[in-house]
Amino acid sequence: MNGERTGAGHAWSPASPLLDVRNLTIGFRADAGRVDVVRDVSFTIGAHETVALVGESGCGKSVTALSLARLIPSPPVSYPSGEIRFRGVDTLAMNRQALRALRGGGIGYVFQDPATALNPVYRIGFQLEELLAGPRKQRREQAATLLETVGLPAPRACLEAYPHELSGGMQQRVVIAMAVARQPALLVADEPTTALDATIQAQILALLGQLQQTLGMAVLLITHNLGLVAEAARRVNVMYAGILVEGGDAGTVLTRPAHPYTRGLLDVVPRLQPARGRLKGIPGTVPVAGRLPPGCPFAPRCSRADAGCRARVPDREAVAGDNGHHVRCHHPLPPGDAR
Amino acid sequence: MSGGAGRLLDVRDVSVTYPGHHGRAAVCAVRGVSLHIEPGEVVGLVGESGCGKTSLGSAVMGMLPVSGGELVFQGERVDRDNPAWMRAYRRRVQMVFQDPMGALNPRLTVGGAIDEVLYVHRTQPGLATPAGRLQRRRELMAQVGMDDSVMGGRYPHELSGGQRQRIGIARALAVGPRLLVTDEPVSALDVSVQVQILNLLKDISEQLGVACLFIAHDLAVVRYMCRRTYVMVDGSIVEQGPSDRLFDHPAHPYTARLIAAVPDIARGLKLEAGG
Repeated sequence: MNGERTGAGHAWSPASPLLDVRNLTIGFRADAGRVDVVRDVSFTIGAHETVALVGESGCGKSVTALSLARLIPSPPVSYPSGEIRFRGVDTLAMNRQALRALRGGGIGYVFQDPATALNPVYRIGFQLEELLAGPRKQRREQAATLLETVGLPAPRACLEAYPHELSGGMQQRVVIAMAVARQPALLVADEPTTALDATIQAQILALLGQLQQTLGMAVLLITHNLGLVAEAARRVNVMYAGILVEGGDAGTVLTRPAHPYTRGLLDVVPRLQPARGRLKGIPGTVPVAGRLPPGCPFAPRCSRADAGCRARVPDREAVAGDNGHHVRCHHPLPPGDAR
Repeated sequence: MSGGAGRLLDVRDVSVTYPGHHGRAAVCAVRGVSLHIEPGEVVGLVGESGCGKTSLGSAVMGMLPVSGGELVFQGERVDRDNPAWMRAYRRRVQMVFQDPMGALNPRLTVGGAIDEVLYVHRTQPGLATPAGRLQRRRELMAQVGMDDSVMGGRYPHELSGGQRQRIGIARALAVGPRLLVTDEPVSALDVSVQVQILNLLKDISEQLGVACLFIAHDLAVVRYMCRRTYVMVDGSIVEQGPSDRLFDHPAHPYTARLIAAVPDIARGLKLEAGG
């Protein structure tokens, strides 16, 4: 594989984070002006690190992920504030040429539904070779090697297949092969296993972990499944209604959450362990972007909310005693408190 | 397993086959499955996509013909060829679907969607007059935790996913069924809303004594909901039993594999601490 790394050579040292998102706000053009679907979000991903971004549908996690390589056309999307630094370079300031090098070569993507990520009218081989460089025969070889890397049993036969001839798990392996073909430094996996069955899900997760090791990639894992976070990620960021409400070490956040929303998410998920009695739901529903309450977006559903919460969005604050653990809440849960 | 006189539903050696077309072979989706449901019992049916669990649910509903075996409901054989009998059967067995948006008519208000069901069954006691149906509609809305005077005039697109599924449940309950077939009732909903709907189904089952065939792929959800569970693979039941025993001590290797594959917070964190 001839993956020449692009974008290197700028004033960026390997010691600083590979990806550094700072105060990012993402807006969509709407009938009544602009609707901000992501507000003031900051997080980092180190080289070789797996970081999870957790949230429910509509919270802005996918829009954040797509924005990293500017995959949503602007307009309608705009970035009124913040920056996305990839290897020290702000991708929001990149021209088309630089973005082209970034996509695939710098940041690779795996999406939720492999059936729609592949083109149904072309053979797998053609779709893989399309993104490789070099003479045709050589690209063929590379494509076969890639399919072997992602654990497809008969790579040569698979090159000749159309997407519909493969199972969902095999399709997702092909999509992963395409995503890592140019050896990206960061792989963004947006709900990579949600469309798949449980047993296949575990295999795909294992494959991603193994590829990360062998190819030395960082992974941004986007999911709504906290079990997946616990099994795959070292650090986690929790999003709610466009705001990053809590972040930190996965073990810390999942065992000692500081934000009532994170606590709530942990409480509502049925577990495989013996029943713990009746689960408490989070009352109310997820707010819709554009119709957000003025203060903390979680306040209407939160038992700890007061007038201050409804008036002002909380700032990001470090949680005392927990390294790297931060929360945006006026009344965070005391450490060690079960509720 | 003995007798079965008091059983609500008895599925005896049922097969479902989809006929082949244009020279393709027929597909046998359900192969000789037997299961039973007691009155008021919530029974789980788990399996991966394509295992035949939805086909079995549809057969129980009488929406698909069985190619072998028989369905016995309250001691009577389900007879798809007898329209009058089927009409009465559909009052006793109702379905809650996975995608509540797809299950509701976008051009009918929430109240209208419930009225429609009540009108179809207007020969039933209390449903003959518009006033009677309106009263029943208010009752149903209250049962699923919604206020008819506020929500009754809204359209499906104005509701959240959880609210839509509540309407789906209200419609299913409209004619006082004894059995609900719920096919993945929460998998299309946000995680923070799923539990609200699960608890609602639990409460309804307990308060009204309605039994439930709970079809799902999410093992944790099935364990939460069901005291007894069947595991289905390739059209056959490979394991069945009380959920606690089944999930803690799976006997069939497939069940064990299925359980091991579920991402789990406690297990995930332990693994990480170990390596």
